[in-house]
Amino acid sequence: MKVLIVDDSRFVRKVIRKCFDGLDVNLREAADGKDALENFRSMGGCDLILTDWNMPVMDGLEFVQELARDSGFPAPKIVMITTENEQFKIVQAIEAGCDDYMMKPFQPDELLNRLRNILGPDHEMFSKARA
Amino acid sequence: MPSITTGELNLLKDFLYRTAGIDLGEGKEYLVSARLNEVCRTLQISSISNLIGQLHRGKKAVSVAVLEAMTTNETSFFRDAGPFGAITTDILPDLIEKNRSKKQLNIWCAACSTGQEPYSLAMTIRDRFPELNNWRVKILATDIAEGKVLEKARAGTYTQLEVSRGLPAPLLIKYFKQKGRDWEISQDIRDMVTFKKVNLLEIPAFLGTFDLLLCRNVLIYFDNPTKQRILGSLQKHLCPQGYLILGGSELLLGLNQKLQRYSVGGATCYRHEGAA
Ligand SMILES: C[S@@+](CC[C@H](N)C(=O)[O-])C[C@H]1O[C@@H](n2cnc3c(N)ncnc32)[C@H](O)[C@@H]1O
Repeated sequence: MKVLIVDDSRFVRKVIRKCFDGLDVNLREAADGKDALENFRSMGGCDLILTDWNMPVMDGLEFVQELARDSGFPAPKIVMITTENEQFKIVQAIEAGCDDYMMKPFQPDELLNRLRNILGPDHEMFSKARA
Repeated sequence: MPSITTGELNLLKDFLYRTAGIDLGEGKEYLVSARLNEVCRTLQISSISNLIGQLHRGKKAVSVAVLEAMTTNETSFFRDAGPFGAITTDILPDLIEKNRSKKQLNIWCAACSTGQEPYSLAMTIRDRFPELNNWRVKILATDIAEGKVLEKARAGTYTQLEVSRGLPAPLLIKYFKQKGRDWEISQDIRDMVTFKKVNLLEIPAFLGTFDLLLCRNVLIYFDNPTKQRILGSLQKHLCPQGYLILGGSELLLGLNQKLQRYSVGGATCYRHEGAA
C-alpha cells in the first residue's frame, strides 16, 4: 500500500503520517502539487493520496486535475484535506476526482474512518500490522 | 457552583430510573450538578433545589429538560462502519428480495438522538438503492428526548463539525445545502424520515412491525431487567424475517431467548430464531 502525503506544511505532513502508525503502509511526502506529481511518477503510481488544497507552485486541485487527465498509472484514491469549507469548493474537489474531503483540523480516528469507507473495511492496510 | 444534596440526588435518580429506565450509577455528583445548573440557567430557575422541587411536582417542561440534560445524545453520521456496511451489502439486498412483491420497507431507529442515524439510512437508500424509489419506504425515528434533541433532528440542520464526522463528502454535497455556517439536509431525505417521541419503556403496541430495527448505543444505560424488558418489546415489533441491530458493545447474552445472533456481512445482528 503506497501512500503519498501532500502538504506545504511539514507539521501537517507529520500529523498525517502519525495517523498511519502501526499500519502496513509505505509513505512518501511532497510539499506541493508539482513535487507530488514527480513523486507519484517516480514511485510508479500509488494507492492513496492525501492532499492539501492551498500550496505554492501547484495547488492541490490542479494536482488532482492533472492526475485525472493522464497519469499513466491506475487511479489512486484521493482525499483532500484542507481548511476550505465552502460547498462549491467541496463540489469542485469531488468533481475533479477526489473520493472524499476533510476539513482541518481533524481527528486521526476520523481520517481512518474515512479511509475504511473508501478502501473498504477489509482492506489489507487495516488487517496487516507492519512487520 | 451550587451542588446537589444527597436527598435531591436520590429524587433525581428515582425520576430518571422511573421515567427512562436510566441507571445513573454512583459518584457523579459533580457532573450532575453541572448539568442541572445548566438547566436552571436555561429555564431561569433559581436553584437546583427549586428545580428538583418542580421535577418532583411533575412539571412537564422541567422533566423534559432534566431528562435531556442527563442523557447522552452523542451520535454521528454513519457511526460504525460495520453495521452500515452490512446494511448496504447484505441486509437491504436481502430485504428487497423478500419484500419485492409488496414493494414496502419499514425501518425503525429507536433512540435516534439528533437524527444522524436515520438520515444516514435514508441517504444510503437514496444513493445506493435507486430501485427503491418507487417503493413505500418508511423510516420511523424515535427518541425519548422530545425537546431540543428531536427538534434538532426534525430541523435536519447540522454544524460544520457534525457533518465533518463520518459523513462522506460526496453525500454531503449531494444531500445537503450550506446555510451560513451550517448545513441543511435536503427536503427529499427529510421526507423519508418521521420523527416521534417514544419511550423504550413504553413502546406503543400500534407502532407496527419493522424489517430493520436499529437500537444502538442506548441499552448500555439500562440495568439487566430493564434491558430484558425492552428487548422483549422490540422483538414483538420485528418482522419474522427482520433484522435487529444493536450498538457495537451491546450483546444480548441470554437476555432474550427468542432472538438469535447472526453475523451478517461482518456485523452482528439479531433475528427471530430460524429467520435466516
Ligand atoms: C448515545 S445516543 C445514541 C444515538 C444513536 N442511536 C447512535 O447510536 O448514534 C442515546 C439516545 O438514547 C435516548 N434514550 C435514553 N433513554 C431512552 C428511553 N428510555 N427511551 C428512548 N430513548 C432513550 C437518549 O435520549 C439519546 O438520544
